[in-house]
Amino acid sequence: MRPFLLSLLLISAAIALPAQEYTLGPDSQPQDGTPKGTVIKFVLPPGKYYPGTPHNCAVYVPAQFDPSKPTPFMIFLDGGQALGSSMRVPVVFDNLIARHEIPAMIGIFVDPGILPVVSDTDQNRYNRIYEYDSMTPRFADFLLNELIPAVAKSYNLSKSPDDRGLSGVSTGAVGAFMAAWNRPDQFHRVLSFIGTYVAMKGADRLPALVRRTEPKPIRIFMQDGTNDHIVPTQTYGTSFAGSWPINNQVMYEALEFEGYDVKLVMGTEGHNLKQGGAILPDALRWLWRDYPQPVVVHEPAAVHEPDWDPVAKVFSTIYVDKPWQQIGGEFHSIYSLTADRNGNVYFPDPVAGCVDRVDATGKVTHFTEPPDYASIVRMGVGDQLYTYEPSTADIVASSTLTAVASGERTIIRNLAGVKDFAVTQKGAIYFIDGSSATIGFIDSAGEAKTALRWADLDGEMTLPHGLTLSPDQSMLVVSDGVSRYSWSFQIAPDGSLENGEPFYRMELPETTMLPWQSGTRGAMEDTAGMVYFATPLGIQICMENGRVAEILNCRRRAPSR
Amino acid sequence: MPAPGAEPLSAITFSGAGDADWIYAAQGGKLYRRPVKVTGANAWTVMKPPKPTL
Repeated sequence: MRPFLLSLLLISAAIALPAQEYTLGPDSQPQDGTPKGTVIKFVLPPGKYYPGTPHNCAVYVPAQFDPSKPTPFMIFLDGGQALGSSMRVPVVFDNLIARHEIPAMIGIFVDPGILPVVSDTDQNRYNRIYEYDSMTPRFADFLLNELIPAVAKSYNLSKSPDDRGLSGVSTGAVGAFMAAWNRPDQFHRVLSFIGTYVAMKGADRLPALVRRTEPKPIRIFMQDGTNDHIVPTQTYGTSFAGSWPINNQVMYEALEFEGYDVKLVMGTEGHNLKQGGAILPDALRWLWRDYPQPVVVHEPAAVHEPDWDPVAKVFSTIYVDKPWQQIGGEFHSIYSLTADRNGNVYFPDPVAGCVDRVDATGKVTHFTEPPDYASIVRMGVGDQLYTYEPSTADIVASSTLTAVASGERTIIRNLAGVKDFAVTQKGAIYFIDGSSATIGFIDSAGEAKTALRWADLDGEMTLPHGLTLSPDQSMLVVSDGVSRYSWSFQIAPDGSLENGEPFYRMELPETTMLPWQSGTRGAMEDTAGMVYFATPLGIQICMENGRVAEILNCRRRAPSR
Repeated sequence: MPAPGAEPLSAITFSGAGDADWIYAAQGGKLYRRPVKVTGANAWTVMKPPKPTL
């Protein structure tokens, strides 16, 4: 945070300035001659994501609505409040749409669910915090699979993410932001008033994730006040969860750091909609400016400044304008990948019953002849592809200098339960043996021994899943599919693994799917010693010192729930 | 069970002729790739990495 701004913020909070007056302007007042949209209320019945829980909803349809055209829309969380006197969204929409300052949009208003009581002596279960203050994709799933389809039955809603906005107030702002964060393929515009980015149910973690994660195509307008949860006798804040104004500032700067199109308006109000309601027309104009130009990701301008430090920045790894491209079609499953020095990539194809090869142009061919039910592939020295086949329990090496495998030779037999292996320059092999809970070592003469029993680590290592060697091949990294931590071991002269440390601390997926745990799979290293882990959040890149510094987005969405 | 289409990254590798400056990532049955500004380590080249930032 810039020291000067932080100082201003803290001084403002410390002396608890009297709130500035905010009033609704002419854009929030009905204007004669302006076409008026209509608001239709309905109840969305209980569905899959919030069982037994109906949602009160409404739809604003602009007077200019053309059913023949896909129509952009915004979803307002706490919909009843957005329709009410503090925000007057339908009036603002009428005025701005009539002047073509925002597109002729539909507004969808949804209140948080309330589970009805069984008898009058019972209390309801109120879902607001559960639905909105959540890092999981459940609320996004609810919007995409239940609310939006219900409205789309009657109105021609656009499917373009650039045509879809979300708006939330307080905890609702977290819900709006998280829906876009979890589904940037669906939502590109977020309006956040007095956002609750504090330590309640995980939203305080967002700035750290935003700074690490490859930017997503989201434009966000933020507003908060220096007296939000601040009173004269408690200038440090009134809530167990932290400081609203400081955390909004921290969130804003994280988004700036990562190059987002973001604006923060910091006023003097408390946790209310006085300022938000007053600036709603300006916020909507800013959020929808340049429409229909798409919202795209870009590097922060600082990348091109002389004082830019490239160390541990996602922009030092990726080209933001070169996202993932899909290669080939739909394969059954790919659990192991490796590559030769000529740019060919290999993976076991269990449906075709062979190992496939993808050349640098993206062309996929069968490298081995069926039936070959290999499960793991690793590239070794001398253009040799090592494969492990569970049915034979053998590791076999073959030449990749030909279009199909040639010169096959068996390296070792009867290795049951191998989950991954790594090959050294000397031709030695480390392998995860799931059946005996060990990491095995096969020296270059073909002699096998146990390098590590992970039961000896007092339960700290749970489920090894992937192996990779450091560039100098002095260390072996072992990823753990359950634990938050993956391991670094030093390789002793006799090949055994020593001095293990739970060195790499992963960011965890927010999911109720317990089998996922950390979900860490394979690992690899770059020539600088950065370690790359395949995880449910994307590729997490650890600095040599064990910190996750970068996260490359998955192409497809994170686990549900 | 995870919802349809909600798979984790299942495998990764560096690749590229000469410098391994592409990342390939598998997500269930789909394979993706992108060019990157870094270079992958491999089994056949042993090199001492720089001292890390502490």
